[in-house]
Amino acid sequence: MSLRSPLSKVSYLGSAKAGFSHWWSQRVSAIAIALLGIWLLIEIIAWPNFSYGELMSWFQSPITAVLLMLTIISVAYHSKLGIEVIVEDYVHNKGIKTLVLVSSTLVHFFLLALGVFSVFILFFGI
Amino acid sequence: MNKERPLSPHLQIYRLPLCALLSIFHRITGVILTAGFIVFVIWLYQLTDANYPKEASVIFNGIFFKVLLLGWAFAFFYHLGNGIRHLVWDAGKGFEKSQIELGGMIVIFAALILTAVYAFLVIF
Repeated sequence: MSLRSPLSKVSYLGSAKAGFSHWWSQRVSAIAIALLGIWLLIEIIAWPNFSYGELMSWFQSPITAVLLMLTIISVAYHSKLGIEVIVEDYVHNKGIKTLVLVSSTLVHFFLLALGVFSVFILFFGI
Repeated sequence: MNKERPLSPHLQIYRLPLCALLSIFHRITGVILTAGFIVFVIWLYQLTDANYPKEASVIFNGIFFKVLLLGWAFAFFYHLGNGIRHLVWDAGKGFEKSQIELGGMIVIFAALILTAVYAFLVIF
């Protein structure tokens, strides 16, 4: 039996069980990026020998399109979580901190949408 | 209260231990990789423009691209290695002082060796 009141759980006296999902998501997305990042770095090795047409046909492979989309999604997510931790640690002014965190979230969602949409367009051909 | 009393650790002259240096470097490489992600997404978007000059799209033979790519590859390999080190700690293992030092050295050398191998593959 716990003698802690509900108030103590939410008022900086211990875990309110909300921080865990941030921590866990950061690690799960890290594992995804470990695999996808290595895949992308290996693919990039061939690029210097590509013509424009060959690059476009690389984008038109379904596997490339799916893995690129997964890379963009997981990197956008992992980056958002990581930047949040850094900002929370180093920016102490509450107003500026909130402003930077909200801006970071919006920019990350923008990059996510722009990246995934671009992969779609490149897949279907310009 | 006597304001002349020494502060400890005094951050301007305190020599950070290896573990602390690696920790801050993990964050720095993370920010560098975020910058790389932004460039990558903007580049993908530019490629979707049908009017984008075809010859300008294939810039991968330039030294500029290769220097940037290898810089980001090093940041990736370091962040990957140190990330794995963090996962080991998350499992509750490797907290002895000697293990922490050894793990740090492994991460540095692994990042350097992987970047050298990758540079070889990209350049030749």
